[in-house]
Amino acid sequence: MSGKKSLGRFFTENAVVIIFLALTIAAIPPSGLSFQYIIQEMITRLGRNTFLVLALLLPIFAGMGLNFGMTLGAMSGQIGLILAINWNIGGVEGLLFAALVGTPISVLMGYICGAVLNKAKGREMVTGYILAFFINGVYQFVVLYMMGSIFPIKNPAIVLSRGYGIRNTLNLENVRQSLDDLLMLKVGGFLIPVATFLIIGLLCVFVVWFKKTKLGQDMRAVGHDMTVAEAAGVPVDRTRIIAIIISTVLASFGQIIFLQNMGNMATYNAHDQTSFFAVAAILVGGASVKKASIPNVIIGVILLHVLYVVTPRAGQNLFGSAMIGEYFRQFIGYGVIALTLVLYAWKARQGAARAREGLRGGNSATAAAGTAAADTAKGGAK
Amino acid sequence: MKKLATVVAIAIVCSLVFFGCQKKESGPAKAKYHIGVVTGTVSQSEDDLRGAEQLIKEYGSVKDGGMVQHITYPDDFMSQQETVISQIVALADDPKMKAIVVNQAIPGTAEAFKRVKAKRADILCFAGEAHEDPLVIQGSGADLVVSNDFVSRGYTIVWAAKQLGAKTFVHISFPRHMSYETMSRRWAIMQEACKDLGLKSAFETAPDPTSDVGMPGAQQFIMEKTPQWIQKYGKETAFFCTNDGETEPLLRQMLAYGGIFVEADLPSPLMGYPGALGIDLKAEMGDFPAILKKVESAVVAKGGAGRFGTWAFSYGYTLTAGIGQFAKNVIDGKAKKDSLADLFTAMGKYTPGAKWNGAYYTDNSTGVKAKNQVLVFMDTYVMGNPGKFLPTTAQVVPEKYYTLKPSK
Amino acid sequence: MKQVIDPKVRTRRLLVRAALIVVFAGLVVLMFNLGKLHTFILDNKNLADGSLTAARGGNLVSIDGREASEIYPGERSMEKVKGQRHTITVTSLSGTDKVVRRISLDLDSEMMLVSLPRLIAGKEPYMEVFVPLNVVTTAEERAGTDNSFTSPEAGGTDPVVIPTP
Repeated sequence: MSGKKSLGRFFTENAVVIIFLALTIAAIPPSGLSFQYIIQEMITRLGRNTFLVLALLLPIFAGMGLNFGMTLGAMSGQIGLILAINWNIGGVEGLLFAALVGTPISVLMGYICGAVLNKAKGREMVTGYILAFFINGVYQFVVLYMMGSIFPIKNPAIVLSRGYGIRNTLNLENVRQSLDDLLMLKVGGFLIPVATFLIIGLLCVFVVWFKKTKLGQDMRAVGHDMTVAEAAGVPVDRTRIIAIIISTVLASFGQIIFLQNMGNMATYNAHDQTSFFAVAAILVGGASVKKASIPNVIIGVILLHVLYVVTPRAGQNLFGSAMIGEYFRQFIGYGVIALTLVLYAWKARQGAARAREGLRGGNSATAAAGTAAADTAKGGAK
Repeated sequence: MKKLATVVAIAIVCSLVFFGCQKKESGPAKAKYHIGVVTGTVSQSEDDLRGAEQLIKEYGSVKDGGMVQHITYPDDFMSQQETVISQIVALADDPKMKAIVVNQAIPGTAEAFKRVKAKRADILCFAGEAHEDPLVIQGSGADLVVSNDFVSRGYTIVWAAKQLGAKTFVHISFPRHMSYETMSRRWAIMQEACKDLGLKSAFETAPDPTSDVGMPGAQQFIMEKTPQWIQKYGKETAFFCTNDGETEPLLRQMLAYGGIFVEADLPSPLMGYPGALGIDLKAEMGDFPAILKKVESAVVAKGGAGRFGTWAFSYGYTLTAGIGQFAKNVIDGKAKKDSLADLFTAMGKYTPGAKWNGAYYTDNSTGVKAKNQVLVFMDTYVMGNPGKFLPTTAQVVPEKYYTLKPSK
Repeated sequence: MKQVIDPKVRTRRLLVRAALIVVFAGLVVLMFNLGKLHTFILDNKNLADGSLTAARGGNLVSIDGREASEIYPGERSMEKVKGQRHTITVTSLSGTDKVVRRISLDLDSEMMLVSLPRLIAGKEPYMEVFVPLNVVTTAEERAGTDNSFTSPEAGGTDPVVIPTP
């Protein structure tokens, strides 16, 4: 009885991952793509996206949900890259330069974002989402009208020939894949960008270490219950702002890593879907609005992106039309994200029910599970 | 718990169904080589897609042992470059792939070509209507890029507007489009041409359909604004819109309220007209003379004779099908990839009787003539009873427009 | 609520922050210096006054020990380099002469034209700032002037009637 139940529990807890895994595996054969291609693409995309997704972790620890405001960081990183291209700074140094320029901008952006989110406690996600739209407008204004007219931009290759405004697509030739190529290993026919993975590894170590620091503990306390944390003397607002600032700065680095691999940058659109894909990845990896870990991130990036690689072709081969392939990808991708959110709410309710059962002294639920469930329930109720 | 188990079960069953659905390949594929064709979807650029379907009709789909592997890029391609690039590069995964045709060559194509060439240098890469800067797409290793002649057309569209009796020329666009070098330069040329030909020019801003308002919001805006614009500028105003999706409501309102329309950004009888006129062209699919006839009679019936123009053949359709055909000719050894005449022969297959003009792209700051980018345009056809061609391709565009730099 | 901060702590905090800003600015400058790309245009042409001629048979030119490229008389070649200090090694294709020059560039020089004959002869200045030419093209090179083309009428489908205007 108990064994069956725990197996069921395993399914419940990992429903999203399991469904996604099943869909992905099912979509591989009809896609007709070789394993060689899929694995290489997975390695590339893991290097390209993981950093961005890791940037979401701290705000989740701090109970602020999924940080859709990370788009602000992405934009800061892009401004850094625009300047690096303008001054013709190339190679890894160019990337570092872009990151250095992007840092103060993203700190400022993170501060603004954090301050706004503090005014909208409990509705952080939608506020961050809309805030990103607002800052996007500011970004367009700065890049399209002020660069070249107020900020001097000399490089004719990136300025529109009317004299101001940055071109629609920037060629990142000078920094293209410079981080990836820094230490490229060829293992069994697969190219592995070791340097990129090392940086991602470093960030993971940082996250693990950070959780153990005083600030990290404060963050978890705030994430658990703001009122209790406040009473315990934790500066709630300040901690929340710091979480967002770190996330924004990481997002700006992440976007630079992403773009150096892409090799070109859609000046006005590259950041549009950044937060959305990062959030999708972390949710697919089994994280929830309240709980996330590094394995969630890595599993999520792999699953989401393999699905993105195989579904268009699979849909096309199954339904016989190229267009349906593309719609199929969107339908599956977004459908699963919606499912994740629904399952999360449903799980929270289940958890609450189990907790009640536990309190009544039901023999199947252990006390520990009861507490854990109660935590989730509290999160769901918020 | 049960509910969830059901959900999981359904998901697994679904995935098994996918397995089941998978068609078994019927014997070994027959085509000796494959050609990858990448276009937009019906909602973004229908003409391009129909061109690909024409190719499939002629040479068969890879799935059925034919030659053409057709894929589409996402509608919001600007923010999904990752998908765009990997979709194009995935074509190179097929060992039989010999050529890739991308129309329209949206941003990301240059990078995708670089990756394709790095992986398989033997694959020919062709691009239609490049959105990226000419120098970027030219430097990507693309074997040939065919774009509309934005320099000449900057002049000829205004010239044609004058022939149709326009006093004012209104250019409708939005900041993202104006951040394209080609469009920004074309607008500068149009302004200068207006000055020289004695027309007033004006710029109107519309929302960007790829932004948060989306295509419906942008179209709604045009629906509401067009009557006001016609009131503001008068009925003898020629309108030009840089966005294809916004052309349809513009045409609809112009048919009702007045105004002159020379041609769309990427002209075609299918561009905007069928939707604006509410006509069904299913029977005529792919037969452009018949489509033009039907569109023309509908325009005349609504009192639009002499005010509405287009190219007699769809630019997008011709480009996809024509470049695809050209790619096949090159692989078969029947054409040379740097021969303009061979390209025109391939494109001419889909535009019987039409007049074309074109040449290699010349960079206006270095004077370097690109060996792999061609700019083309066609005569403008003005609908009426009877309709007539304007000899746009025969116009000599004054020298100075080529070196014109957009001013602040 | 505000706590009173010990002035000692405050000055120390200020110092640490100032130091951090200095380190940050230093890093930016360092990256700018290290990563700055310059373009060499290696020019193997006879000098205008005829005093020096390009080495007959051409040269092998290698910058910073990279793979050498062959530059024949009258040719130009372009190389991108990172940083300001570079070594140019010129070997004649016959392999007899070898000249090594160390060059240091200004930070703001984007494109430098290097005259190989002068460099080989050791005659200063062998390097000058390259000014891109604004080449005016002839009309026939451009689009829209010639190459007009009328598609052949296809058999079967009704051709579009083209009324002459």
